[in-house]
Amino acid sequence: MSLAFELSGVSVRRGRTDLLQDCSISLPRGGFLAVLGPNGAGKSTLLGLLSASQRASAGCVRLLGAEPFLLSGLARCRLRRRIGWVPQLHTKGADGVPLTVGEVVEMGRAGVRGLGRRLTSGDRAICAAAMEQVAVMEIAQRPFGVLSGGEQRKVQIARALAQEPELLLLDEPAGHLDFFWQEVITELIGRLWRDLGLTVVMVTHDPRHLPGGITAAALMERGGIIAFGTPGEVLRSQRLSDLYGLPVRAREVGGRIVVLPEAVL
Amino acid sequence: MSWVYLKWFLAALAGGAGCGLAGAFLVAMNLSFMGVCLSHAALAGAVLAYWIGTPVLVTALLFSMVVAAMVGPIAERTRTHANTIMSILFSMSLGFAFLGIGLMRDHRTELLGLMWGNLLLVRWEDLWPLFAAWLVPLAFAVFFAKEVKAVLFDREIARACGIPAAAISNAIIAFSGIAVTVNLNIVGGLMLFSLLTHPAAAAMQLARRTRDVVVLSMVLGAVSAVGGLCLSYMWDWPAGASIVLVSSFLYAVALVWRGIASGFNP
Repeated sequence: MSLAFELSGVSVRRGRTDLLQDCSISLPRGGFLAVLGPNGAGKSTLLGLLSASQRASAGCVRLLGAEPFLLSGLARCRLRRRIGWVPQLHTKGADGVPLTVGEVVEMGRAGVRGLGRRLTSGDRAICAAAMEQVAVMEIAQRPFGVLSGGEQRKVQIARALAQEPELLLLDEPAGHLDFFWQEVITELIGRLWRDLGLTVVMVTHDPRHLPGGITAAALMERGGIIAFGTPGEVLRSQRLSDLYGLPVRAREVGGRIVVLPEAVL
Repeated sequence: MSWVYLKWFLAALAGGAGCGLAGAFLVAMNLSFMGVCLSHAALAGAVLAYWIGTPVLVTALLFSMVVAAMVGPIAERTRTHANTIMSILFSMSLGFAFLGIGLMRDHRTELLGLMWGNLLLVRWEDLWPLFAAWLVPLAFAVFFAKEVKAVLFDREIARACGIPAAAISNAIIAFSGIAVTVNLNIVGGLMLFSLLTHPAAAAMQLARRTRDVVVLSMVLGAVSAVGGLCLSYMWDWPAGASIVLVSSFLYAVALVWRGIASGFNP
């Protein structure tokens, strides 16, 4: 089975601190990897490596069959076009340039189409299809800056889908959202993964945000991967208790994983 | 009607529109302070050129480019916010400029001219750099419209989409440095950044699409410069000061307009 990515012995240093230490992890194409861990564990740095924007200070990163930082700058740009990255929520207010939802989604095609080339009608059809997928077609003409956090997140996902990515990276996609939107986003991610045959890596600190049926999970703590395997092996009560520093019980309910403190059970 | 009016008009048009265009890019990228930094660095470079006897335009441009190039790497390596570094570089540049002016008593008139600017002293041969510093970035923005738009919206996301975001934003900053440098004689290094900030800020209040923000910022920049020129000629006011006051007035009008349009609900 061909691998979407493979990290072997990868470390990332900034100044005197190790953001990531000796990480080895891989994912076959079509898989869904959940990365869990407390804040500051190095989850976003890991996504930085996987989006070819962060350089490893040691070890080897293979991403969709290439080593990103052995490529030329332009070739690395072309590699990034095959990877959809949905950043953590940073609400865009009125301060930036005023872009509509449709224009934000078209950014996803801007890279793929190439420098200085106009978007074609085919590109616009792909954008429309991406907006249909995440149900933001009705708000295509609205300014992105006035949307709620959940809507902005859906638009960012549509923008990543417009790239027609082979690998989709999600950084806390349901974080900072209310309960309704957490469920909407979780359901959406599960559906996109199953329907589109994407490879997905999702970072979260809350196992409740994971859709059912995912294929792999990893736990991170202080820049290291402390567990990696199938969700059944990794997302166990004892491991999660150690990770959170609190006795918890993990249960599978309808394919999804629910974690509750032992004290309430 | 004398040709001299046409010369003044063309200089004000190109200078104002060029600064308005550069300003729209900087303000949209949340780098309005970069304009202050660039313009004062160019001023220091020009003063330095008089001191060591190098070509004024080239030295000023070089100085503003070096200062612009210093901001990013220092911010990354020292955990100081880019705005703090820019204020340090800005005051350092101003210190250099004042030092030069204090030391070189023979050149004081020219040097003060760089500080305050004087549109009425513009020469025909000053016009082509002004037009180049406006039209070349404009052509760039038209040709790379979708890339520029993406970078103005969010640099990190633009990069993740596979757009060479660093190259695009460096080009934008370099164009701004060039626009600032060629406008030193017109508006003056001390107040030049207002022509980079005010038209763009006013355009952001009024326009709803990225292209409209850029076009309106150019128009307002040109109106500020031409309007300032008229005031300066009619009442014998200093040109730089008149331009700054017109651009501030236009920003105030934009705020009021926006207030009326939205029923005073921001």
